[in-house]
Amino acid sequence: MSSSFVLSLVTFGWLACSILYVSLMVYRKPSLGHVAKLSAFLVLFAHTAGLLLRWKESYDMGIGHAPLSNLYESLVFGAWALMAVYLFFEQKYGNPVFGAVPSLLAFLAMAYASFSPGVDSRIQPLIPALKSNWLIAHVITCFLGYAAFGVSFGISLVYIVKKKFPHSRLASLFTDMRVLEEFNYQTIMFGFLWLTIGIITGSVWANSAWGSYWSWDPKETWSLITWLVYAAVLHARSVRNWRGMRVAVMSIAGFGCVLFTYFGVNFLLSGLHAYATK
Amino acid sequence: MQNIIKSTYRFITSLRCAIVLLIVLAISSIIGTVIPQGMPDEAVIATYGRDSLKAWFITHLHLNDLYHSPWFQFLLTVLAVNIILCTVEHFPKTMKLWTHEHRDLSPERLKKFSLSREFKSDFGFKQTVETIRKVLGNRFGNIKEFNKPIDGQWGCIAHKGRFSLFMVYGIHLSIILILLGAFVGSVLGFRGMMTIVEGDSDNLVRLARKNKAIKLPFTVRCDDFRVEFYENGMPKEYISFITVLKGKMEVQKARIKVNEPFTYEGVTFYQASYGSLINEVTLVLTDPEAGKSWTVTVKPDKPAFLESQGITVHVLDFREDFSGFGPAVAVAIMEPNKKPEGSWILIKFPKFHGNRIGKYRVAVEDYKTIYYTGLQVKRDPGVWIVWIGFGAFIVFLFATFYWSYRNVWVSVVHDNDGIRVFMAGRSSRNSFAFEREFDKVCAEIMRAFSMMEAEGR
Repeated sequence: MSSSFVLSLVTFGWLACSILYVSLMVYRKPSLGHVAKLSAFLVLFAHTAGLLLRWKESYDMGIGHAPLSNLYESLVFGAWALMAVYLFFEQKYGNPVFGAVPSLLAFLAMAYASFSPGVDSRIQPLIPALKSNWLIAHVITCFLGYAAFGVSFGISLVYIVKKKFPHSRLASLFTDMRVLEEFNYQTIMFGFLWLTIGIITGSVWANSAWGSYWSWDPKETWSLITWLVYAAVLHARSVRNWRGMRVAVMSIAGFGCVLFTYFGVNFLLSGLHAYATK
Repeated sequence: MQNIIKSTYRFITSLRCAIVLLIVLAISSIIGTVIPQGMPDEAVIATYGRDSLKAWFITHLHLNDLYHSPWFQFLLTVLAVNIILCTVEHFPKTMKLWTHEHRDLSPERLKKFSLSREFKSDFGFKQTVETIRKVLGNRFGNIKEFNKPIDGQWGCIAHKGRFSLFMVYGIHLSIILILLGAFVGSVLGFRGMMTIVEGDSDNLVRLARKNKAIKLPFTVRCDDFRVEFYENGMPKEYISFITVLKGKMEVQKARIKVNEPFTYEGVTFYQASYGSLINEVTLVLTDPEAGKSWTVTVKPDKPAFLESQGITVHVLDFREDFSGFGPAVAVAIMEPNKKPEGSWILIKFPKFHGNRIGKYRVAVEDYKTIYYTGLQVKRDPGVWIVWIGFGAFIVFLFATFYWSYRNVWVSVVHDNDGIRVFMAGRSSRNSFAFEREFDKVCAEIMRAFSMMEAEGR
């Protein structure tokens, strides 16, 4: 079985999971929650297997490297990280109802990676600039950060829905606002920590690859902007006591920056990170 | 006047100022990613027109080199000052939290906490106090007691993680360190390029963004440059083999690849670019009218003199790819008392009608190129400060997020209602995790009570 076959199955797996999570929201049967959670873990397992298989296949081709080197591979890994981080927090807080947004995002990322004609899914050898041990550390840490911000984006949407329509059927599903707010804060802290480590590892790597730990490359600059937005959220929360709605709105804005750092910079601005476009 | 200074100071030391600065920095950074960076002023004027408002803005606000412009550096400096002053201003508050003990242990006060419990004890006052002392002592280490347990009222404070209050200062200090490292690097270091042809040596570094060169205390010779390709044609490796020379003496040999720089006496060399130059070219000149051909071999610094025609043939330049038509050489022919004539000669298209200079058709029979390597050269004595800042940043960030100052207050009251225990708790962060911990402490105390009950019977 080839990795691309496994990963295309995984794409539909995430679609199935998002349908389950959405029907959990609609029908509100706890048993659906168990099914959704179980299938999410199964798909995550298959997703992990697919990634490892692709890694192995690259070694079989004699150009072995971690599957983190181009747009296709980063999308696949991004979807994996999003669901891994989400399931980690779901386990911790024991509430499966937030799953709809992350699993839908994971499905979209996988579908875009698999079916867009602009995305090349072939395993390519590493260009000289990417031949470094920092590749794994840098990409994994950045994506853990992005993934956590994606989860926080989902929670923030739920929070806003619940705040605006407190008596809707949807709102009655979720645990109380305090849990939601704390959950959001925890994911933002988690994301901020990993984004910071991602920027730092990238910076250390850039120092040996490009000869400078900071070159104001558009990707660097946009990741710094993203970082500044979340830094502002954290400061506003701890110094100015911002809670709830404001944090949720800022988290959504922050996730917009994440998306622009990831997609917008690749397609609209040119720079040193150009290998992420194909 | 004093008022203005006072209010300015108050603004600079405020979080509001920090937020404004961050927003301004973010917006300027965005502008920098949209406007092409590194374009010289002349090019900007040529692109947008001399009288255009856009060109005026870009050249006067240095938007074409925004991140190194005086105003952007000034903003970064103000941010550093703001971080330092905010820290200084905020520090006494943290010290207060650090030394402050919430001494009012009356049940009424404890009940007001958002996290509080109340339960009864069926044991003697002394026994109850002893149990609580033991449980809290195990979980929190030191506890501080008020009142002797004889008055019918006993209270204590237990806390841990008090140092976590200072971790956020560590983060700010790390940022200052990083900025300091960058400053030291920009003042005491340099960054530039060196282009060395295979076999040549050089000791001059052309500095980036300045019309200046620096002379290294040693010479670098490029012995060889290689490009390796994968089977599918993608580049696999760019390698420069160099030798460091001091005077005429070979001091060290090294191999420089992308991602594998080489450092000598604090100066680091990075593989940045490469290219090829023409080394020797063999040309066939044909005079179609006379029906005659001549073959000449020319080097860039050695023009060929064709005696029979009285002309001198020069090779001036080489392009690896001339507008998509493959390699081409620029050839010039000089004849005494005539204007020199020249043209680009396409190597792969000998029949191309443009391969003609004056009356001669020119074709390239053979050519040899030679690589040159482009090395980025850097000296940055501040980089270690930046690394320390990075390391400290991660450590303090972890500590700030996942370590907290946790307090538990207990009051045991013996009155007409019997013995009652009041407990309250508060954590500086992660209140949910602390809530679970607090519940555990309460459960442990109650379990100890029930065990005593079992023993007592």
